[in-house]
Amino acid sequence: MLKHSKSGPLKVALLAISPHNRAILEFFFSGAGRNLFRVVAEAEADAFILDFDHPDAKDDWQKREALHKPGVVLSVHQAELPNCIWIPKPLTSRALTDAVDRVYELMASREVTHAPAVQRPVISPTVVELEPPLVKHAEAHFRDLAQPFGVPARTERSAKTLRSLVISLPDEDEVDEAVVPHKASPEPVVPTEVFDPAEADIPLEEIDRPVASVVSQEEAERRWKALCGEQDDVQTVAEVALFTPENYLLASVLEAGRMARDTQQTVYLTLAPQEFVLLMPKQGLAYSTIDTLSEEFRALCNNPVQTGQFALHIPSATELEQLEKQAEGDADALLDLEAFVWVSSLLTARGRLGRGVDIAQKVSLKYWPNLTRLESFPHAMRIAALWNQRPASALDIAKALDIPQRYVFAFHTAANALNLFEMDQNKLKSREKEMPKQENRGFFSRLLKRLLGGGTK
Amino acid sequence: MSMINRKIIFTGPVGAGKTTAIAAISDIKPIATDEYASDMTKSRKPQTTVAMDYGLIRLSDNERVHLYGTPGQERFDFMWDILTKGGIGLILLLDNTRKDPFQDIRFYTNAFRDFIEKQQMVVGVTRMDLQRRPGLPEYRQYLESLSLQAPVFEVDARSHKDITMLLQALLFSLDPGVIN
Repeated sequence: MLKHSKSGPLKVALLAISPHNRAILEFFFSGAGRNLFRVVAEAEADAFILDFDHPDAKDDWQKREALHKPGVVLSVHQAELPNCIWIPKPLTSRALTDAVDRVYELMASREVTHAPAVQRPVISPTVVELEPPLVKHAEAHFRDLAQPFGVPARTERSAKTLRSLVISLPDEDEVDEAVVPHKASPEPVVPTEVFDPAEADIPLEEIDRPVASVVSQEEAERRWKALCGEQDDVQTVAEVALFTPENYLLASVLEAGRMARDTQQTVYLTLAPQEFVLLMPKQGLAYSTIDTLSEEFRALCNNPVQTGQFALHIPSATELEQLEKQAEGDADALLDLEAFVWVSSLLTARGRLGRGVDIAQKVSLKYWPNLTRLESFPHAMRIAALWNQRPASALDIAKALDIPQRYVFAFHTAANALNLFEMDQNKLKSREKEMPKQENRGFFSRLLKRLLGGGTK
Repeated sequence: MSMINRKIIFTGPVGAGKTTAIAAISDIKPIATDEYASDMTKSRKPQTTVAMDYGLIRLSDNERVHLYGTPGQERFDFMWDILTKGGIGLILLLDNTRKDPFQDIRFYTNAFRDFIEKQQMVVGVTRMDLQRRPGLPEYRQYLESLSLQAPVFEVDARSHKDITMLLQALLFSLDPGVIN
């Protein structure tokens, strides 16, 4: 919460502000800015806040100038008005905080020069007379209203303010003339007490969201083993398990991916007789006739290749038309292009690093993988977050997070296949972020458990 | 026992799915801006106006996470600094079918620049099933050109799993050492 002040919250009335902006201001004043301002009825206000970009603003202010109350003018362009301070848009909490002091200074200076007027502000009789009917009008609506969100219906007006959601009165031409006899100016502002659901201890309608689990824990663990292997941690760099990408389907997948990206044309990669994958860079999609979740695809990725087993080419226009037709009719077999490369890499590496990778080299995750559409495995999100935050080697990451190395190696191989790492050692330093504050760790942990534990409480 | 309240802000253009995303993870039926209470639809009845879309996650009896969605209309941008006061992070939702989603990125990241620098932003791109371009690589590069680093995910705003992933990414980005 923002702190202020010598003199407590400044009592203000809001003028010429649209219902939404009024709601937003009152929301702020009821929460973080509660020590700065208190929204009151116009007659009780020490100052006015008005949105000078609102079409009614100039008129509203002119009608109140005779009250000699300071104005806080919000506007895009500088506004120099007597007895006013200007706050430029966009509005900041800092500017609002500063405004309070400036308003008190204005009030103090007026006390010196116009002591009687400020000590006991002379409220326009028109204002005083007009306020009750409009307030009654608002109250009448409240009484008749089934109060939303569990706010009990009121029968009497509180001495202080209306306890309510922020209410916009009906359009002027809709107002019942029996309630409001004459349109006169200035229009009084109906006092409101903002409704911030976060502050209210009211029964809100709860949602009971069932936990939808597609796969069992056992199935999930089996898949994680296929993706990340089962190797135990090693103590030295020399012990890290390596694989040679050129010996596997992965090399062809990466080559096809490069070709697709460079030419921006669909690339056809033969997987087996009658089986293929299309890499479609314009759509960011892949179409595989072999399900990437299948045992067949796992075996294709795992087994070393034989010469000429996989072939790739850019289809002709006629061939492409037929292939795209086939893909359209088999939408379930379409997947994100990055997801295809990701899963191919994981199934090939199985928790190993590619030969040629400098294991001790520090790298930084330049871009996060699209984890909502990629096959996930334990700790992937934490690995991404830490590697994005600071340059480190794979072994450093595993140690810092205190997780099995195979998950970090798996992530490294797959993210590397997608070119998500910054390898340039000269650029790494600038990517380093501040060490995170740990003050919220307990809270974050509870929230994560809650989110991952399903939707029910 | 005092109540501990935290706040997560959802922002983005109209139609990007802010209200839907909040609904996907909220423990309560969200309250939306411009919402009319049950029997308020007849004319001459006052309209309920709340500053932000609102949802809630209750962690315990004394710990709550408030989910606030900013009003989608750009004319409220001059209020956004005060809306985010006390927030722990920002979820920016972008609609991939909009004419120029990069302009939306520019607009929203500019409006929330200070908050993003102090806290953390995560980007969710919705409606990619209807419009594949621009793709995530273009979003990543565009953010980089603005000197912004943020996770960018394709999401379905209706999906509990997808929105949960956005929140996870936000929390882990703020502190990768968090244990889940």
